[in-house]
Amino acid sequence: MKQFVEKMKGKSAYAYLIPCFLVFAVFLFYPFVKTIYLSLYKTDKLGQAKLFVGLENYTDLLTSESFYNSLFVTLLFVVIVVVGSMLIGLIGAVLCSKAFPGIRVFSTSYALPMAIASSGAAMIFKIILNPTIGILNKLTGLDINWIADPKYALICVAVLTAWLNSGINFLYFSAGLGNIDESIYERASVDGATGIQKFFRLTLPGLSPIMFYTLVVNIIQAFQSFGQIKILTSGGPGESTNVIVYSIYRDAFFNYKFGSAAAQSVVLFLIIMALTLVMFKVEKKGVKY
Amino acid sequence: MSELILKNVCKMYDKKQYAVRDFSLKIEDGEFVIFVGPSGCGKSTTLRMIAGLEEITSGELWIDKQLCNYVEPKDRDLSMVFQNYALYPQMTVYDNMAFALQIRKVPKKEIDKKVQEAASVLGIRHLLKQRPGALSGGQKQRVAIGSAIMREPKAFLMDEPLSNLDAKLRAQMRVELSELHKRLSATMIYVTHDQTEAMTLGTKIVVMKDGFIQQADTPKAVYEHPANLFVAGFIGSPSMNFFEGSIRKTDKGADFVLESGTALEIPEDRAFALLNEYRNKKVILGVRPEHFLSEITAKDPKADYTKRVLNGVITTREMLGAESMFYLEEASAGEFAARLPVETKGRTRDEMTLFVDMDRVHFFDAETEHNIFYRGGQQ
Repeated sequence: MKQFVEKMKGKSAYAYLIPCFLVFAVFLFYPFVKTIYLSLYKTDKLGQAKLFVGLENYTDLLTSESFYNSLFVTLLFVVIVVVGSMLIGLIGAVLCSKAFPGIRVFSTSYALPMAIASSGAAMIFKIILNPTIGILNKLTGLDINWIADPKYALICVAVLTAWLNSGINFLYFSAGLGNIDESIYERASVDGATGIQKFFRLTLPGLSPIMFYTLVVNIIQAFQSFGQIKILTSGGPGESTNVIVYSIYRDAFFNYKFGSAAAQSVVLFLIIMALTLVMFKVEKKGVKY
Repeated sequence: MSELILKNVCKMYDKKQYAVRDFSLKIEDGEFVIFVGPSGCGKSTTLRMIAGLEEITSGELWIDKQLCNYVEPKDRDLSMVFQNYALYPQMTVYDNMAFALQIRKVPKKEIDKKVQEAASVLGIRHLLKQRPGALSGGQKQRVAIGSAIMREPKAFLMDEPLSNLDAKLRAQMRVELSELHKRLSATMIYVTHDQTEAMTLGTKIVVMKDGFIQQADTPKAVYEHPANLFVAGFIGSPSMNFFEGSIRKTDKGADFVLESGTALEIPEDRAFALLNEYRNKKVILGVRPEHFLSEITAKDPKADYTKRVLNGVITTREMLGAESMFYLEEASAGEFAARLPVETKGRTRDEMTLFVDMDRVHFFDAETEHNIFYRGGQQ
């Protein structure tokens, strides 16, 4: 008996993990396993697994032109969004790192996108981009049907998403800049460095840890963008903005092909995981703490 | 190398408070100038104005006959060591030292030669691949100095570079800095609040208080002829003892009389001048601890020491090795310190009689706090 109690003492720690584990199990592990399970079946309209088909859903995907289009669109989308949102955030943060009158107004406006719901922003953009009454065409004097033209639709959605994501990046970068010791800039000035040299030699390396973190988060976030695409373009015109997440949604809830949707989810998961692992490998070389 | 001239330089914060006022100083080529003073006296601000990191509110700064008030820091060709060293945390020690040359597009071979050279002088060759985070305070300090001496700037500015080091390391670095100055024969401006550093390093000391220069002179001159009460008290450790009293005429000349009635005879050469202006007026007598003499050493037959005697009760006694510090309590003047030979006898609460070396004491005007016998100095 005594031995048993002794043994349990060390293991009581696991008991504290139970609540958290339960939440994870219900909302993460179960759906995850279920997705993998569904990806091996053909389903009925209610999403119940009916017929075991093995890897057929996957082979179908890999031979489907639409899926490759989705992958390409997603990749392009992610690149534009990540580069765009990080640039906007970084430039905003650097501009706002110096104190000047009215800085609060500027800081707030740079951070504001963080507080805007993606669907709300999409509605506003829909009006801005409207070919007849939209302010963009009015201001530029162009006559482009931004959302309905396959050439521009993806860029429009991506720029909107970049702007939406830039708010949180601005906050991260501002915090990162605040962590850089002011006196190294002073030393650099006395040493004879110009503003540009200071930015590339001091600011960027100083930001590299936070930059890496933001990059990982941004890539994952960009892969998962949905609301703005749904509202602004619904994957169209044609399939020009049909990113994987939207394709999953469409397959599952319009075409009732839950199996195929689940297979796409698994592929998306693999892509994101692989990317994240690669980034952590690169981090060890490139990021200096 | 070069000369720096500051003319009536002022720094004002928030349009009302002066941090530095009417700072005028000529710094010759190769001088080692020390700005010393208590914290908040404006010494760092002055240094930062020279570097260009603070704007000069009014006055002129001339470096090598060029007016530099509005010249960008990067174009002033100075180099600076900061109090917290300001090493670039993301760069290796090598890159830290090479930075100033790299941004000037100096050929890599030349940079490498200079870095290796400076690193061996400072004994940090084995650290070149490390990053600042892995270094100790002393090593960081060497790296900071190494980075500063890579170029041959017009002047080196140092802002309390030794203040973060422990006592032993500080003493060691002080010697190294002094040697460095001799080797480079460069103009150096050094800020410190430590009067020992000021005395040992400088060829010229600028004592500051509340934004004003109190005195600017060689260490010896500042020590032996302090311009006023503040300088007298600030320079020298332990600091000078001050006694309030008045000047009284006697048959032979004049006495300095403490409130308790104890009289100290003033040597003839000074008695006359003091009688003229300060007869029966309040003056402050300043005596350095080493200018007290115990009975053993006071056997100079020429002077009549018996009339230059101060009595006190010993409150504390400290052994310093070759010498002992005695802290005594005098009836009206309060506590004072005396540095006496170690073999001097005396225990706590003993009464002690000390002779005052009246040829080396200082008299200060009680109102203006100026040294009565100070006749300007070289500025």
